[in-house]
Amino acid sequence: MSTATERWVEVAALFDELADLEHVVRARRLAELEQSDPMLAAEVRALLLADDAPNPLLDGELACEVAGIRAQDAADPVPAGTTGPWQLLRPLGEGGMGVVWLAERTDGAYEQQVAVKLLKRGMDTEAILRRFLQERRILARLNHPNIVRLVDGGMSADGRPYYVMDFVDGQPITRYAADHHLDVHSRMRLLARVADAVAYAHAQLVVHRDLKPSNVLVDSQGEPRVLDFGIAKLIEESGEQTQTGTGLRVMSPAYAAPEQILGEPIGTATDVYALGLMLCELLVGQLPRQRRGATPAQLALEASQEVTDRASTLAARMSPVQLQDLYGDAVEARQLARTLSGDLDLIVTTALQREPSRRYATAAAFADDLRRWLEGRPISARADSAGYRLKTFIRRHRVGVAASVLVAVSLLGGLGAALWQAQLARAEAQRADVERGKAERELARSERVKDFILTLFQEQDPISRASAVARTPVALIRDGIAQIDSSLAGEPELQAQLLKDLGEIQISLDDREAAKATLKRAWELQSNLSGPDSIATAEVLAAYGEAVYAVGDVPASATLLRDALAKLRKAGAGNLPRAALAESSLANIELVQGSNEEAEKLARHGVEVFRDTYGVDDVRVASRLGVLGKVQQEAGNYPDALASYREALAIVAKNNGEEHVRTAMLRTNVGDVLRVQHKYDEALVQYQAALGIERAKLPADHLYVGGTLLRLGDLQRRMGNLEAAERSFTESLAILGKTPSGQYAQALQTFGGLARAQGRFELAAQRYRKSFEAFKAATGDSVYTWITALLEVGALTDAGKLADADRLAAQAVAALARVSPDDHYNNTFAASVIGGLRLAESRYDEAIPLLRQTLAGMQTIYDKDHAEIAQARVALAAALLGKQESGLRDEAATLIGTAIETLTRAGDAGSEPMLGAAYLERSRFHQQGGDLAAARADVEAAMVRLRTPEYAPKLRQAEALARQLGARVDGKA
Amino acid sequence: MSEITELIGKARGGDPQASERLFATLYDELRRLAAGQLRGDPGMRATSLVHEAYLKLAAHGAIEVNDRGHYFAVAARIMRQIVIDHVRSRAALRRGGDVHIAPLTTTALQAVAQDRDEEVLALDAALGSLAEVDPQLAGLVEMRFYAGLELSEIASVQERSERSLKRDWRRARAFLQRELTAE
Repeated sequence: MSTATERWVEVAALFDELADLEHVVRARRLAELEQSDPMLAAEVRALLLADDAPNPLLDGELACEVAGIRAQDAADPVPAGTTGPWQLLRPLGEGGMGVVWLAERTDGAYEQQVAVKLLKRGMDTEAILRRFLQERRILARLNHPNIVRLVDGGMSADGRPYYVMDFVDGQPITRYAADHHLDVHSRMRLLARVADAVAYAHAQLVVHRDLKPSNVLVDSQGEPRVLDFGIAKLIEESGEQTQTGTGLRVMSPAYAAPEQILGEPIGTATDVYALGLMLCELLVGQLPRQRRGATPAQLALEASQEVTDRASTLAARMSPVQLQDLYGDAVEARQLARTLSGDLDLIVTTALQREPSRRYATAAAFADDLRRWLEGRPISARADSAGYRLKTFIRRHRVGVAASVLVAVSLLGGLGAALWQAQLARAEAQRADVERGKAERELARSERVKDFILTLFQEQDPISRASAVARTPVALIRDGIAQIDSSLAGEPELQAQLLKDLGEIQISLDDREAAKATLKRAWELQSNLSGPDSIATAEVLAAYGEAVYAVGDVPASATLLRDALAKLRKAGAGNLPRAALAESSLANIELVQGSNEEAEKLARHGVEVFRDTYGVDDVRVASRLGVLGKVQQEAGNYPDALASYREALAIVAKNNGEEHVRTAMLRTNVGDVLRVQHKYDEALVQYQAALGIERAKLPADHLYVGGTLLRLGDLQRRMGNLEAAERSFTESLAILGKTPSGQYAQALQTFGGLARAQGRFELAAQRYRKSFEAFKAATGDSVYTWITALLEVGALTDAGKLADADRLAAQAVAALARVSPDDHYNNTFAASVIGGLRLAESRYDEAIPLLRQTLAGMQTIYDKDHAEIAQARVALAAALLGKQESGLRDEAATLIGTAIETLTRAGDAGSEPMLGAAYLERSRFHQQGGDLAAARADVEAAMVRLRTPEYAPKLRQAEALARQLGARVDGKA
Repeated sequence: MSEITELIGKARGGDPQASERLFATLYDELRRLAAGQLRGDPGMRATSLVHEAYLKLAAHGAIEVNDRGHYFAVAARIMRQIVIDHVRSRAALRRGGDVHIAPLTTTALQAVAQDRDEEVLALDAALGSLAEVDPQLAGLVEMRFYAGLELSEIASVQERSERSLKRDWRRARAFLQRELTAE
């Protein structure tokens, strides 16, 4: 570290410390510092001075640059004129915060009349402006027909902050309603539109905080427009340091919600309260409670004990004159009271609850109930408490987590499960009285879970945390987990449940290590609470097992999942969906470990549980069927796999339509099975259908399109349509190549195989090289990378580029020994490739042990009649014959004989060239034994069979041998 | 554009060539967008250039989500370069006629449009001094002033708390202000 840097670190730390101190304390600290280190003190002082000074560039031009309005003191209310872009024309009115002027632009940039709100003198201009600059983008984002747009802001020439908004020629909503003698329904409709606008702003994470009739203007077309969104917050928060007490100074206590007066957290529910007041005032012309306190302390006392009158009670008390003013002639007090009593009273009361959490959670919910009332439907405020609260919970999520839909969905899933458990518990309780207490506890607990999650999302409210908008789902959940520790310290049951829910969400968010840690804690906690063998503990254990699987520790995961399932079954809970999910996870593991039957049994049970729980046609059943199909496919049980996939396909098509993308994915699954069954024509139909859907529904370069094209290309290759295959591969690679991935590398590898099948070995080597590089990028120094290198070695060998093959082989062998020393399959494959290379190089002494290893390895991997084993026998025989020693010939003969027998029995087209290679070696054997007639017959049999491009090198060897033997080559002697 | 993620990866790994190519690739895209902004392209209102470029690149699958932090840091550096280049070649721009700026875009571009060239250049120099003692802080200023990112957005891409960024910003602002006013 340079000395300048060290110095800066020191200065910076002091600056941070001193910047937040009050001036008196700050001065004292600086004086102390002066004594000990005058230079340092001077630097810090300079920084603090700079901190206080405005910087037009850094703070944005509005702070100083936009020439202000030459407005005058209150004593001289008419401005002499302006030099800035806004010329004040006439005052429109005066409010708590300042005077509003009608103004227009003077620079001719565009014709526009605006309203300029010139804030009162004495407000902290500097702080308000900075705040404004921070907020303005958020405020400018509010683009709604019923919200008045914020245009500009700045400082007037005489140092007062102002802001500019669109001018609305209208009346306050209450005045408008009275002047037009609107009936109750019209008033409700009008306010519902206001609530919509407020809900829109809430979705943008902006809370109004100062809603009142004078901030809602209705224009001559009857269009309501909400003014001053976010302004109250801006001013309040700018006042933090200069003002003591509450933010009330800028707002009218009459309309403030209790939490605003009491200095409690403010959120969307604060606006709901104001909407409730406005509804009451619209309907009965007065507020349901009076605030008489003159001091903040008196107000606070009133607010904390607030009791509101019912709107219908107020209506009943209205005098004919009041009614006449409000509604015209048409209405009687008793009639109005009757209209308002019941649901409308309930709506107002719900909006005006003292506790924000007991109100409508959002303006949208409030608007919704207004409309329900208008349409004569049951209002949500009347619904039973649990259902009602779940709904408000959902709506809160819509508002709070617009940025993280996934989390909301997952949380709701978790919450749904909690409620469902509560319902189960309740049902049990009805059966057995003994259980009642437990059920009630369970219900209470799920309520508390909800409350906690609500507070988590309240943190997303702009008021308490503007930054939360941008929190990633992963960060949100991590924060939530941290909060569990701090805010629920005394409630281990809740902690355990929430850790489980959030941990499961972490799995789905791919935050795997964190999920593992979270769920481990949840499991330990739950185990302490309800005992290690309880259902609750087993469920958490299952989730923990899945997290362990997600981080890749398969054996440990298998143990945990089996343990969890055993406990669930023993407790009679083996048929819960949670158990079925654990079974699906375990099925995948069993499959990997080779226990196919067990895997299928588990997957099948999962399907049954979901069918019983959700109904046979539910899409969730399709997911389980997909897992079952995969298990059956991997286990080689193709007819059943097809049946499972097809049933899943039918369910998805029924629920989501034939053309849904999910059907395309299932069609590719069906196609995959048909392909391995060698039903190529049918597979082709499925792939093409899938491709058609994907092309119609997805962007042209979507990875799914690339993946399906890859399958199609491979199928076309198998069907011998190499040109079409080439086209499909090329298109697929263009798509997959955009994102380096294992799939892309895989595609290149298959593409290399295509070239090899065409006998274009150099091209194959090039494609393998690309695949190697793609694997390296996607997977690093992995087994895939180096297996691909071995494929390249094979292609180079066939191309006759033995020196290149040799170099690469040495690298690949060393690398595989490093990354995967004990993998039997890899070692066998490596031995076969290197053995083949040594054979081509005529280095028989090295080839023989490698090819012996290959044969032995193949025999443990494949069953005895597999073509790979026959090929390994032929290769070993070729190396043995290469030595030209009589002692080795008998062994070679036996190997060849067995191979020919196996391949002849197989009798399919694919075996023919392999058989040709075997006849070639038998010809050599006869040549060495002096039986030239037999040798000639065999080499001719070989040449006939070796006429596929892939076997061109063997064919050339056979032709050379035929010439030596004087046999017929290409029909010539 | 498909190479951008790869370049970001390499650049992060310290490959200077990759850094340069990344810079060049993003520079072209951002300069194109900035030119549109300086012409007053109405389509560009309210969305910052850097976001726009990011969305374009991301839509092409060129950037992975976890590359956002590095992307924005590089993009901010580039915007700084673009602004300075622009100021230095103003004559050309003036011949192009009226300069009209859509409101609420990055602070830096607004300043340029207001002919406040000297201030912009002075700030650039001050930022250079800051980078010498505290490169991380200088990066923050680049992201905020040149790339026009809000602190909350920076907090998200850097996975830091907004509170600590606020403190950093205040300190950086004081440093620059002192540099700008020091004689």
